[in-house]
Amino acid sequence: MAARGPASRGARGASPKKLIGAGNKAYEWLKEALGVYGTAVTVVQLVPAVLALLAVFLTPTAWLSATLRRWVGLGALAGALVGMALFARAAGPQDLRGLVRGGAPRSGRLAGLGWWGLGVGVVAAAAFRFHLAVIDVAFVSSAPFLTPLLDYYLGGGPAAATLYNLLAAVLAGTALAGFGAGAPAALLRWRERRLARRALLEDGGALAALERALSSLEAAKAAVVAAKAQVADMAVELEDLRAAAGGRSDGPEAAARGAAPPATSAAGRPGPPAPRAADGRRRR
Amino acid sequence: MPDPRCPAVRALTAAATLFLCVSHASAPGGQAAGGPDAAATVLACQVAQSLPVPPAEAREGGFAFVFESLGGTAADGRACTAYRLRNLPGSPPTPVRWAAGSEVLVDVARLARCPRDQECPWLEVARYFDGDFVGGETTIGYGLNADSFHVTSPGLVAFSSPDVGAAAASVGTEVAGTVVDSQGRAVALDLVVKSRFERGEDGLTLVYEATADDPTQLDGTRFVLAWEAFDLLPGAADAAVTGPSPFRAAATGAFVPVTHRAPGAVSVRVPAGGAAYRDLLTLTVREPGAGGADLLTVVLPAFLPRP
Repeated sequence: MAARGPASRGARGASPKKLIGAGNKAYEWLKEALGVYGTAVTVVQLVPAVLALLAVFLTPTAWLSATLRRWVGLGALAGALVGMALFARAAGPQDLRGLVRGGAPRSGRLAGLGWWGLGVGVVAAAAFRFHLAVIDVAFVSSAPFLTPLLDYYLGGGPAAATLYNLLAAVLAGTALAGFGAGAPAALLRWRERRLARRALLEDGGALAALERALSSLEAAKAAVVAAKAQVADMAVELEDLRAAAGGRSDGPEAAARGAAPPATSAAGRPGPPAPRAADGRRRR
Repeated sequence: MPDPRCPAVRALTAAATLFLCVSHASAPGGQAAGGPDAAATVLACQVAQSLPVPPAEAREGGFAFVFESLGGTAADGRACTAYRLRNLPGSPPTPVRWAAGSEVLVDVARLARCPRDQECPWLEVARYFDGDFVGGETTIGYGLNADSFHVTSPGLVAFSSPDVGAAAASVGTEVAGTVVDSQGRAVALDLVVKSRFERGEDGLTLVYEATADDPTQLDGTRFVLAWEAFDLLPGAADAAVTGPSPFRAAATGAFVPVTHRAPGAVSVRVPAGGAAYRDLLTLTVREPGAGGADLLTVVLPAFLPRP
């Protein structure tokens, strides 16, 4: 192949290389496709196990108790009501006196409630799930340090069972209160910010006016720069015109000026330039 | 082991239970349809029939215990039923409520945790009464709040019909076994509590009595007997009086003073013009002290003054 010149590589020499390149590429694609297929098959095989784990996670054995479900239902209802009240309080307008007294503005209250509510909700939900797990016999057998807790709740009689139900209700209520207040607050704040930004950017909005002002300012700046350049050009032309007018007059002063060395470099220029005001304008 | 939460396993369990119900529920009382050992005696009950046969296992959610109901004849010729529960080795503390319709047969706050390497004893509750027993469908709830898991099983249910016009009549419940209090201490129970009446020269006397070989079972120091009969007995409960009495009113927890004592027996005797039989009352074995936790609840009807 080394003996072949560039011309010989034209029609026939490039084909094997292209063929090999295409083959390599096809092989790479096939390898990639097989990799994707293998991964997909593995994932699909895992789906039932994941679903089963989810089902186990979402349906703890404690949840089978109708008494517990009633307690948790009541707690969740109370928590949801508290969450709604908190959200309504934070979302309501605050008068000027409230702000003067040091109250946070509405957006600040919504942001705070959003973060705190969601945070408390997540923590309470995790604690609630753990609380449900501590009387799961299979779970506790894998975590023996929880055995005394299981023995107490299951073996402490009606009082212990009531305490367990009450704690579950409180945790569920707290989670619901957190999510019920935090999620709408965060959503409302996000929505209001988005709408406000959009309103500012629309025609007639403050941001749009500022944008227009900035554009006008840029245009004015460009015009000033162009005018400055034009003035400079005109000054040069004026100088040249003056110089040309001085060269056409006769007399000893003119002769002496002609014998003297040029006072400026402009004097050495090759001939007076033509008026270029139009060029200056075009450069703008 | 199949997952007990699996619908298929549940369906199979339900089908098996239904089959057992159909097979045994129609067996009339007094017949040896269950086919237990005829010589078997549980407490003072000569067993003639048992349901389910063999004793059924409840095994879901990590809990595992055995239960059976027995029926037969007491030593004095009256009918008797007995309910027995036993935690299997390695099982955690298990709250159990065994009911037939609205009647709670046995409500155990918890069967004690059973070590892996030993067989745990039965908790036995026997009823003695004039009447009969029949096979019927019973429900056993267990786990958290005694209602996380349910087993439907055939069981023997008492139908008592004492003659309140007779010279004397008696209904009683005997409890034997060990329960665990809220501090985890074992509380041994071995006593008979009964309601009876006697007609004498002075008229009719209602007697509410507890008998036991061990006097500590009757002094109210280890447990008390809260009986719904005392809620319906005017003047029985007296919160101002204290003393060694095991009896309490069930609803209020008020102290019920003992009126008669004898070796191995304490009783409250109330003269009455006539007696009325009241079924579906319960006796609760409760921790002593205010707000003591319930340890065991069983059925114990009573004779009350006729209004």
